[in-house]
Amino acid sequence: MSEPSRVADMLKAKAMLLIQCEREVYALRLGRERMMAWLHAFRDLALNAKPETGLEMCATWTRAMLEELHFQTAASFMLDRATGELRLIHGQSHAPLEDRVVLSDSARSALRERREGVFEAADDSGVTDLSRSLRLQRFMWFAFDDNHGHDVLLVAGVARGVSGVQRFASDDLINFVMLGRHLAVLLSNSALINELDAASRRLQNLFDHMRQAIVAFDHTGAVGRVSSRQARLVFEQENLEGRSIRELLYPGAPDYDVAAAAFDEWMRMACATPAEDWAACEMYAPREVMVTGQDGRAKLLELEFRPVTQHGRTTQVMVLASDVSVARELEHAVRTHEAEGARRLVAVRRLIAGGTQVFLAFVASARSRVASFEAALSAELELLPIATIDELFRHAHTVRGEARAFDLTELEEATKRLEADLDELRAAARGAGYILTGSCVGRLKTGIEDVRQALELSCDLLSQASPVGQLIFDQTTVQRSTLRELLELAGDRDDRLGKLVARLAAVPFGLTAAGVLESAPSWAAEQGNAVTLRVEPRELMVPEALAQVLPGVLTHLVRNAIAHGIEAPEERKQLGKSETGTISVLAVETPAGICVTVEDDGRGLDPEAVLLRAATHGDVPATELVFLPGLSTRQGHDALAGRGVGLDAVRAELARVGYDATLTFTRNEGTRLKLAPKSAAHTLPTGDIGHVRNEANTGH
Amino acid sequence: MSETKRILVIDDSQVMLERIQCALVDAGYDVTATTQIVGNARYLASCDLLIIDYHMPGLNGDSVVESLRTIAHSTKHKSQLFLYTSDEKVASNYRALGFDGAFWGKGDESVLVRQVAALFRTLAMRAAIGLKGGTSG
Repeated sequence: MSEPSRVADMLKAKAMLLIQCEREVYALRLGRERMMAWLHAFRDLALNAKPETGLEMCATWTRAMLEELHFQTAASFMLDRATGELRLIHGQSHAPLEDRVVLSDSARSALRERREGVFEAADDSGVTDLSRSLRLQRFMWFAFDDNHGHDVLLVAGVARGVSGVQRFASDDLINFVMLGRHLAVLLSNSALINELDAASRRLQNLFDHMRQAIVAFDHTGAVGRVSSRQARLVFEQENLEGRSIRELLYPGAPDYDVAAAAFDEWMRMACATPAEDWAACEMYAPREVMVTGQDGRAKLLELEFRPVTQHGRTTQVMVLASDVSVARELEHAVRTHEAEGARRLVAVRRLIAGGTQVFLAFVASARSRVASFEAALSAELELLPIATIDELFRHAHTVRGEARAFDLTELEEATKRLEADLDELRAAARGAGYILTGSCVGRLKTGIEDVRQALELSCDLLSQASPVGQLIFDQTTVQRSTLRELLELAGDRDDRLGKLVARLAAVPFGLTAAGVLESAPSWAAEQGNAVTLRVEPRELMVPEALAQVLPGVLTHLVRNAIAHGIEAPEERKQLGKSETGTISVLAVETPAGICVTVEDDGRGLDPEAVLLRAATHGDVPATELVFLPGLSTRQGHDALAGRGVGLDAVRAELARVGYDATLTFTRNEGTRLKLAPKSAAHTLPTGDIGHVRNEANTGH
Repeated sequence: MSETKRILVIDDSQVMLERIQCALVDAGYDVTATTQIVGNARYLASCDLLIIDYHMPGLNGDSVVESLRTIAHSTKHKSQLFLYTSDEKVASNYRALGFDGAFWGKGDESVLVRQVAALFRTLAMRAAIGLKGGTSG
C-alpha cells in the first residue's frame, strides 16, 4: 500500500473513530439529560403533589410526564377489576381521551399478568387490545393496587396517528415504574392522612364535648395536635401543639422543683412502658397539680393519665385534667363546718383552738428577737463580727417566715428589707470576718425600728380584732374540764380561794358577745338595715354561770333589736336619725353582780300593737306583755323574728342563773333591756348604763 | 407505698413547725417536729425524710450538714435530707450545700405537701424499677 493511501486509510479510520466517540458522547449526554428529566419528574411529584386529594396528585404526575419527560400522552385510570371498566382520573393527550373505557377480557387478563411493560408493536394480543382501547400506538404502563379493591393504571406514550417520535430509552421503563410506585405511595399516604384527619376531627369533636382538659404528649414531652377546648381554657393557650407538658403542668417551676423533676422522671418511664404494664406505671403519676392562671387565680387540677398505644407500645400519653378548685373549696368549707369530722378537721380545730396561743407565742418570740437585734447594736462596738451578722440574719429570716404564715404583710416586708440589708453586710464582711459598724449601724437601727413598729402594729390589730381586747395578751389556755373540777371543789367557798377560783372561771364579757359581734352585720343585711354594734367593756370578767347563758340571750336580744327596733335607712332619715342604727351591749359591775344592758336607737315599742296581739292582759303593762310566751308584734315572720319565741325564753333562761330582764322604751327613740340579778333588777341606777329615757307608761 | 412515711422536721420557729406538722400529718405522714438540731439522731436514723430550715441557729458550717447526712444516709433505707426554704438562691444551690434536694415555697404548706408526695412517689418508682432490673434515674 502506497504511503498516501495508507495515510488516507488512517485518517478515515480516525475519522470513523471520532464519529463513533462523538455518537457515544452524544448518547451519554442524551441519557444524562433523560435521567435529569426523570429526576425533575420525581422532584415535581414529591414537592408539588398535594396530599389533600388523589386527583391533584395524579394531575401533578401527568404534568411531570408531559413537561419534564415530553411524552405526548400521560393518563391515570381507575380500573374496576370486576367489570373491566377504566375510568379516567386525570390525563392529557394530543388525541382525545375517553373518560370511560371498558377493556376486553384479553386486555384485563394482560393487565392482571403483567403489571408493567412497554408496548412498541403489535406483539401481544392482550396488550394490543389495551393499546387499541386507549388509542395509543406506543406506550409504557404500570398498574398497582389502591388497597380499596381497585387498580390504578398509569400509561404514558404516543397516541395513535402521531408520527416522528423517538423510541423509549432503555431505562425509561425502570424510571416510569419507580415514579409510578412513588405516586402509589403518595396516594396511599393521602388516604391515610385523610383517614387520620377524619379521625382527628372526630376525636377533637369528642374532646371538645368533654369537660376535662385533654392533651397528649410524646416521649419528648411535646404536646400533640389534638387537644380539648377545655385544655385550651385551663392552660390559657390558643394553640397547645408543640408546647411542653412539663411547662403546662408546672409553669415556671425551678430546676430543683421536686414535683416537676418527679414528673419528668415518670414521663420518661411512662413513654417506655408497654400497655400491659400501664397500671403499675400509673401509680407513680402525679394525682394533682396547682397551676396559676394569668389572673393570678390558683387552679387545682386533678390528673389522670392514659397510654396511647400502637402495636403494644406506648407512643403517647394522654392527660385528662379536671379543674377541681371550686369543688375542693366547697368540700373544704363543708369539712371545716362539720361538727364531727375526720382527722383533718381535728387538725384544723387544733390549729384554731391553739391559734391565739400560737400567735401570742409568735409575738413573744418576735419581740425577743427584736430585743436581741437592739442589744447587738446597742453596745459601742467599732466592728460587727460576721457571726453576729449571721445570727441577726437568721432571726430576721425566722420572723419573716412567721409573719408570712400569719399574713402580716407589713411585718413581712419590714423583715424582708432588714434581711436584705443583713445579707448585703454579710457579703461585705465575708473577707475580713467583720465589718466596721460606722457605715451600717444607722441603717440597721432604722430597719430594726421598722420591724418593731410593724410588730406592734400587728399586736394592735390582734387586740382590735379580739373579743377580749388587750386581755388577749394576758391569757393562757386551760382545759375547761379542769376548771369545772376546780369550781366544784372550791367554787362555793367564801374565802379568798373561792373568789380566786370564781375569777379563774370567769369569762371576758367580749367573749360572750363574740357571736353577735360576728353575726350582726349579716342579720342587718337580711333586714335591709345598717347597724353598728358596740360591746363594752370587752375585758370585764363575767361569772361562769352567767357567761353560759349570755351568748344565747344576747343573740335573741340583738336579733330582736335588728328585726323590730332598727328602722330602714330611709325611714331613719325621715325621722332625722342617722341612716345607721346603733345597738349597744354594755356591761357594768355592781355590788349585786354584773348587769348587762342591750339598747337600740330604733322605733321603740308600739304598746297598742302589743295590747292588740296579747290574748289576755288585764292591767299588765305592754313592757311586761312582751315577755308572754307566743307574743310578737311582728306581722308575719322571717328568719330573724316574728315567731313569738323570744323574750319569754330569754327571761326563762336568765331565771336559771338568778337573773331577770326588764324592758323600757321611748317611742321613735329606742328600746332598752336590762339584765340584772333579781335582787338588783329594780335598784340599778339607769344613768350608769345608758341614756334612753324610761317612758314605758307614757302611752307613746 | 402504703407504709406510712416518717418525716423529721427541724425549724427554729415553733410556729412554722406547728403549721408544717399539721399539714404533713393531715396528708398521712408520721411527723416528728423539733427546734433542735443536736440530740435528734435517734429520730433521724429511723425517718425517711429530714426537712430542715437552712437559716437556723446551729446550722453553721459544712460539718453539721455533713454529720446529718452521714446519719441520714447510713440508715437502711437511706433517709433523704432536704432543705426547706423560700430563698431561691439557697434552694438552687442545695447539692453544693450537701442536701439531697430542696423544697421551695416556704410559708405555703400545701406546696410542701405536694412536693413531699412527689418525692416519695419518685423514690418508690425508682425502687420498683430497680426491682425489675431496670435503671434508676
